[in-house]
Amino acid sequence: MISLRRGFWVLALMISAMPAWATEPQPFTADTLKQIEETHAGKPFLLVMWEVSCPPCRRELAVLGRLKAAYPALRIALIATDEFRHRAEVAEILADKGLSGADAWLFADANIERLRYTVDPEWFGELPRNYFYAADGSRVGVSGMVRESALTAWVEEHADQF
Amino acid sequence: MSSTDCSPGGFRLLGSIVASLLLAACTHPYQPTETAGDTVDCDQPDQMLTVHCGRTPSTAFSPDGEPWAVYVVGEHVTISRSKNEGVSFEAPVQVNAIPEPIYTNGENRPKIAFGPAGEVYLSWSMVTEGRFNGDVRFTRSLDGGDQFEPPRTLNDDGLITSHRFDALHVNDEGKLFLTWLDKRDEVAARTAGKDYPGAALYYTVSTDRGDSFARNRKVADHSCECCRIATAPAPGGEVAVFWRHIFGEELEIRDHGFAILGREGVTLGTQRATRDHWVLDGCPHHGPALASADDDGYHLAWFTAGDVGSGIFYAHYDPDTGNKHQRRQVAGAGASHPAIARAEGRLHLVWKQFDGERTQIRRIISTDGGASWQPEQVLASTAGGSDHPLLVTHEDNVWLSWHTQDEGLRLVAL
Repeated sequence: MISLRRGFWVLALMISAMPAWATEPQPFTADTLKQIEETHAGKPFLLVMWEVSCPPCRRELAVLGRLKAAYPALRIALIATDEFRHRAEVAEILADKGLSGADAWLFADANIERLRYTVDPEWFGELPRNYFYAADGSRVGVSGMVRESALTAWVEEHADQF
Repeated sequence: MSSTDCSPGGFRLLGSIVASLLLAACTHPYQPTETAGDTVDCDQPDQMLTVHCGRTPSTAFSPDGEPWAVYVVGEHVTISRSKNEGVSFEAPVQVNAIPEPIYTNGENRPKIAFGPAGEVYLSWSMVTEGRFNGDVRFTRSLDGGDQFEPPRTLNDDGLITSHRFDALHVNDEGKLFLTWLDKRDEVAARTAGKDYPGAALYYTVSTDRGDSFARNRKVADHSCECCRIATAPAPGGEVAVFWRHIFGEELEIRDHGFAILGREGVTLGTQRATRDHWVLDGCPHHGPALASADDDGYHLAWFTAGDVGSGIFYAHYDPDTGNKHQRRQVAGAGASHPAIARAEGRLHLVWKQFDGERTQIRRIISTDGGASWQPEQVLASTAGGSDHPLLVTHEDNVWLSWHTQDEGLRLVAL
């Protein structure tokens, strides 16, 4: 599979170099979480792991879509844990939930355990998985769909810091 | 994927691109593959149709002791047998002549089982129109795997909804039990403007080698909707079933149900077999494992992240009393997807463990029915992507069946 992997990196570079694909989910690799955390350093943000085949995830995405519309400055990072071949479906669902403009990634390594480990060694892969990041970089992980009232409360509480 | 796709499917990246580049090469003659310790190169045209490069293989031993694997290549269920205990596999046989999209993930994979006279039975979940819909498909070969009948759909409601996560069980008398997760009741509830959390557990039985199947029967409402179902033999030719189920007054808890299925109906209705109180409005994607004990009880292995802690748990379960004994946490962070099997007085429990560098399959053994366990051992490991570990029994032996991106399918005698 060596050449496949090399091919993947070539593709990943192509994707990142193509502005027309900017709203498509980007490849999530072992380094990506660090980059996301650096992007949002000093700001509160919400990191949400989800998957196409997870109905509660799609319900939560719908809530996030509404919140993003109400609070355009809301910082969200959406990471789909699906196989990379589902990229078009991931983009389609995000668009359907009003999140096509949100920062989104898609697992891009067959070794999903490795990718999960880079996100959180204590996370077992249950979805959705939410991380509420505070401005100081600390975070709280929550498994399962977070109620709309709780998400809204978090967003309202942090809105002046986005 | 297109019907002629012979991509090295199991492992995603660029699969369709590579497949289209190599499409013309997919008819190359098959070369037997030696895999013991070798790395598989699924870019090689002669490897693309093999079990090593297909998606989500399941393994079973034929009555004469040969391991057979069923897996998916493109839109074809494919089988391949080994005459040397998994060191190499024979030429693949395509099962469905007409291509159809097939679910292939760790929790939902094609299944294979044998009848007493060598009948080969296969089931899988076909992708149907819409999102996450599917039909339970079945076919058989009565000539030792040379020819398979056209696949049949076993769910009998005529609805386009989710009928998936099939589990195939053949009892000692050769009767077939097919169990699956079914959303027909969710459709009915939605039509009536009501909520219906999760799916339902349904099953059907064939007493004539798959000539015909009984009408679909419901076992339980509100199963979790994307976790595999575990089955094991129950006394009298019945079948024990153990699955992730939604409990609680507000249907907010994802623990596990246990039931026993007979030929004519459910003989032991749903019991709550685990009480971890895992409140989760989400998808664990993490079904349990089940083995019959030698005392009419059962050995359970499951994953939870409930009030009791997170990880893989084991217990002995007595369905007559609903009591669990010998409950223990087997593994914690980084552990997933347990399998359990018993043979020759030894109980094997394996699971997948990522240690930060490699993914390992770890195993513990009990020689006293789960009361005590020997220290854990690493049976196999890989650096790349990997499937769930499966345990397969034949007579007095247990085998690990594990498919990995780099090494292909390996069978390890335990």
